[in-house]
Amino acid sequence: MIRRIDSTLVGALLATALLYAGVASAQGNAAQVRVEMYQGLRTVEIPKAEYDLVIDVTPLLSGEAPAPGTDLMPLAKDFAEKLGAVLPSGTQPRLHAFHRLGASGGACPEGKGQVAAARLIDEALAKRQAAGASDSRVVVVTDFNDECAVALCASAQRVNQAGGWVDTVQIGPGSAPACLASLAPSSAEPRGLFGTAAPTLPAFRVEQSSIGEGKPSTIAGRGTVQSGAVSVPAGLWSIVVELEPEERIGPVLLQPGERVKVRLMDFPVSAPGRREWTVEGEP
Amino acid sequence: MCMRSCCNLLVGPLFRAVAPERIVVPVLMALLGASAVHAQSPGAESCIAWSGEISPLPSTSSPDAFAARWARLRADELERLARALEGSQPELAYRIWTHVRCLDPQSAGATERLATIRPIAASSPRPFVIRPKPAVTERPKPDFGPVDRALEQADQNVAAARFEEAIELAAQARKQLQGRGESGDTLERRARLEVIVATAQIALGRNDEAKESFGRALEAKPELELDASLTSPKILQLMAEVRKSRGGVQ
Repeated sequence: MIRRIDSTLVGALLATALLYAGVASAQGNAAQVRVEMYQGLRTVEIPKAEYDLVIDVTPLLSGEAPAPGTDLMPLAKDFAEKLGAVLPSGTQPRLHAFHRLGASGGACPEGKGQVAAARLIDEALAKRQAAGASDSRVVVVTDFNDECAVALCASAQRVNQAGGWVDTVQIGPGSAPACLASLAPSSAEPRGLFGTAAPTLPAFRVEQSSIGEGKPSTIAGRGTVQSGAVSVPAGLWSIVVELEPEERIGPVLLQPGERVKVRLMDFPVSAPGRREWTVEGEP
Repeated sequence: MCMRSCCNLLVGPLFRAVAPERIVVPVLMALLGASAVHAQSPGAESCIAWSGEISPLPSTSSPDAFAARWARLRADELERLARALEGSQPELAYRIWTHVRCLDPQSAGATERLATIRPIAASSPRPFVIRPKPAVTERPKPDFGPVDRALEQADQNVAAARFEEAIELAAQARKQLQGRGESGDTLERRARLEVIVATAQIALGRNDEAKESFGRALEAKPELELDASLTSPKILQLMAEVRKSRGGVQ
């Protein structure tokens, strides 16, 4: 037999009818109960915006080669200070600077151009991953002259796969590699958005209905939402999902050998105080 | 934590006032404001249930009315979150929009936003030139150590009545002060040097030479005054004569 009751008025009437049907609890034959949660956001923890600014100071210097050993960071900082007025309030971009005339980032797979910006993108990503966070927005500011396109796109792809992406600001003559535009951003679950990687699933218990008795309830079984079924003796029981506040479902008459699935919908952030549930028999 | 408060934070003013004196500023404003630059047709993404969701992921077109209703509410909730995040964290908003489209494949908003929110490729044909700030090089302070030591020793020689030695040491100090410009430090030492020499010369009875020395001292430091309580009246008198002859006030 497949039964279905829910939290609507009709469902409540059906449950009441079942309660007063006077069916005695059937001992000896077990029933199975499991609970599925259809939940919304439980908390929203917006991660702080993270930026890595990879700045090519070559165009900023108008092609003039700095003296060997010159520290490029003051230039990058000077530039970033000018950006300070346009960055979202409170953001502190991490700066990475290079100079093309003095760059030596490695060999380009196609043998053309320097691996300068790409190397810094990889380094920025590695630092983020070492810090336990990978989804950073990388902004590359350069003229793209003499940058190895293959290496740059490969680095950008790695950032995408990690959940970030690469924006480009091309200054002066030159153009960004076409391959950058064809990279697909990640659609993976944002890990940091909900506070924890896996939200804690609530427990539930199956207990004796104690209407009008004032006595402590007898607990027939305990389980966890979204996990396996709990075996309880056949009879008239309530299923209590241990949310805040608790949600009491039933009473439900469980027949010997019956398998019951409870589904509970809860949107505590966007619709607090409004829950819906159904109780369905399973074959 | 409340969704409403989070959203209020996120949709607040993202940018402060900007003086667009540089070409790069509007370029980056466009960039960091996450305006659209690429329009790509959305691809078919794999719809995997996120943490805490029912798997397989239900959608609004699910034949199960309960699951379809949840998908509707979940899509609405995430859509509000994605819109709030677009300005500051478009890469995060993009991923949420992707999930919204999984929950509600008919969502026109999700399809439109996924086609719009892309990494920015901003460009400026004008070169942006920043020249390094000129390094502020602090001029090294001249080292007067040898001069000061020579003058100190010359002073001691005068006190010990070794006048010739004092004059000799002062002459060495004079040489060391040559070519050091006319800074206050140099002139101060030049005046002190000439006073020591003049004092020794007076002691040796070479008053004419002493007058010349006082003359050089006053040339270096016209406002030069000797401490009357520590200086012999003879010396004070001679110096006053020199000052008078130079047109100074006694």
